[in-house]
Amino acid sequence: MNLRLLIAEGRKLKVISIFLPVISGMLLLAITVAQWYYHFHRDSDDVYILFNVLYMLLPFSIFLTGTILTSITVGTEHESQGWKQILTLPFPRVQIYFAKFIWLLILMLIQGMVICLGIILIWTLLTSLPLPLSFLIKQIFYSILAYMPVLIIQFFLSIRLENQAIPIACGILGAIASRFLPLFSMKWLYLLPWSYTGLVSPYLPDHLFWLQVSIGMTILLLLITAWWFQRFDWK
Amino acid sequence: MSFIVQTKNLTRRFGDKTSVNRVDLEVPLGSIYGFLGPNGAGKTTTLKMLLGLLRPTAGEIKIFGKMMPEERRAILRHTGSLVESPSYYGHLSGYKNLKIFSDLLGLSSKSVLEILDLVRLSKHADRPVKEYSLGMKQRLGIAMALIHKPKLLILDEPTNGLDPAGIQEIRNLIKELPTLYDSTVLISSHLLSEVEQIATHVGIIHHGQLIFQDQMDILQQHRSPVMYVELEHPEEAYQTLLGKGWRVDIENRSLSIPVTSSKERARLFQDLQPFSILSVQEKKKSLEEIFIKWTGMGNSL
Repeated sequence: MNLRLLIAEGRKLKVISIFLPVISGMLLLAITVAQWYYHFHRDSDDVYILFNVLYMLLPFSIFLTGTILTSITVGTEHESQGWKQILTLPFPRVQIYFAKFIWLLILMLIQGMVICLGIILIWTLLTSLPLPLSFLIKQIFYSILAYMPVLIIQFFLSIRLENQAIPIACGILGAIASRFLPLFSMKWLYLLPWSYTGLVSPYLPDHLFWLQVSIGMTILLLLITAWWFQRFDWK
Repeated sequence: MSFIVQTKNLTRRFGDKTSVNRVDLEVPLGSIYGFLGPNGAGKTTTLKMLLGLLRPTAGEIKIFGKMMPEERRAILRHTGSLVESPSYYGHLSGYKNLKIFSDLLGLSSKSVLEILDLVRLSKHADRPVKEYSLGMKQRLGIAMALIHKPKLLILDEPTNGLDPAGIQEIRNLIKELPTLYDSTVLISSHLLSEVEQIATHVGIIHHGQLIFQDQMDILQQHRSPVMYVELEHPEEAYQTLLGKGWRVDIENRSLSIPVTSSKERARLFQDLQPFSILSVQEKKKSLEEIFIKWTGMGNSL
């Protein structure tokens, strides 16, 4: 990977792109804790129900954050007419594509870090029971990894369609679908990239299988879209 | 003559429409090449193919003797461009915009300051570009194209939307480039006057086809003067001149006759002597008139 390109992409980021994963992570924490508190007091005395609440809300948060981040990052290039400038620089187009994608991945991981650190802090403040740290880390970062195929699809749509309303609408529909797809009994639906985040929770026995499927799909989609980007005509 | 840009049968089709049709562009080293044509003639499509943004349907492109797109990176290393409208990140300052590109190209911070000075944006370097005027944005776009002192500079309608002062400023800057950076400039425009004032060579594209390509001086030679002569007996004079082999048109009581030399002019007066000359006017054909003749379009091609 070309470090110069990576640094340049970082410099282009709008402040909102850096704050969004943080704000989104904190928002998820607030809702999770509110739900946890509600269940803890009303229905259950099991503090570990926090992880059930997190499992329920996490995919939706990841999907929405990924959608908005992609549209802001790519939209900046569309608005600035930057594509034709950056693509006439002496770099392989594929490197330009990967530099942008890596920044999206970094920003998604920032969201994961915020959620992870937030849960650790809240847990430490509110309970003295042992924290299943490994479970927490897997829950959050497996979900983010499993989201990568959808992130690539969003990335492709945002580059291809200058009007970001369409990729954002697709992202929102995908977020809703991600909540329900893993619940259907029609197993072929699980193969759709929108199902993976709901299937990689350590709660589920075959989560590692679905993690491998999502990594495989990530590599496949990255190769296909990078090849497309390499050959794309900038009219 | 060595050509820095050379295309052979360059063709680009979009579906059924052929935007660029078998164009053989030849841009001489060190020239300012005016690429002239009406809107939609295929100028931008051609330039985008030269820059590797579009793939040709057929034909080949050689820049610095290297093939595009096969040797894209080697070509782009020495090429600067401003296509359609300037690219800039509005939320960043002019300095930061240029710094991004200078870092990408491995240049020093000094090169940013130098280029800001050249395009006279030093005073506004720290302001966000979204606050810049159109002319300042255009100058920033040119600065981005020039920051690495390219051997070839491709500018697509760089004075679009600028006021007369802005146009003059950009024009002067472009004129300086061949001596300043030893650059060859390929500039597209739909304005004849603009190209006429700065270009050493000119290519005219119309409906995707290159209909003229040569030195500006050669184009100027097409402007042979026409004599407009008012006579008492124009009909008889008309018939006599036709009989003597002159190319002559008649309108009202006036004849128009193209002449190429002063000797020819003298001979014309001799032939017209018997028909009582009332007035004589000599007019040079403007470039606009030549273009109207060639392309069927007016001043703004």
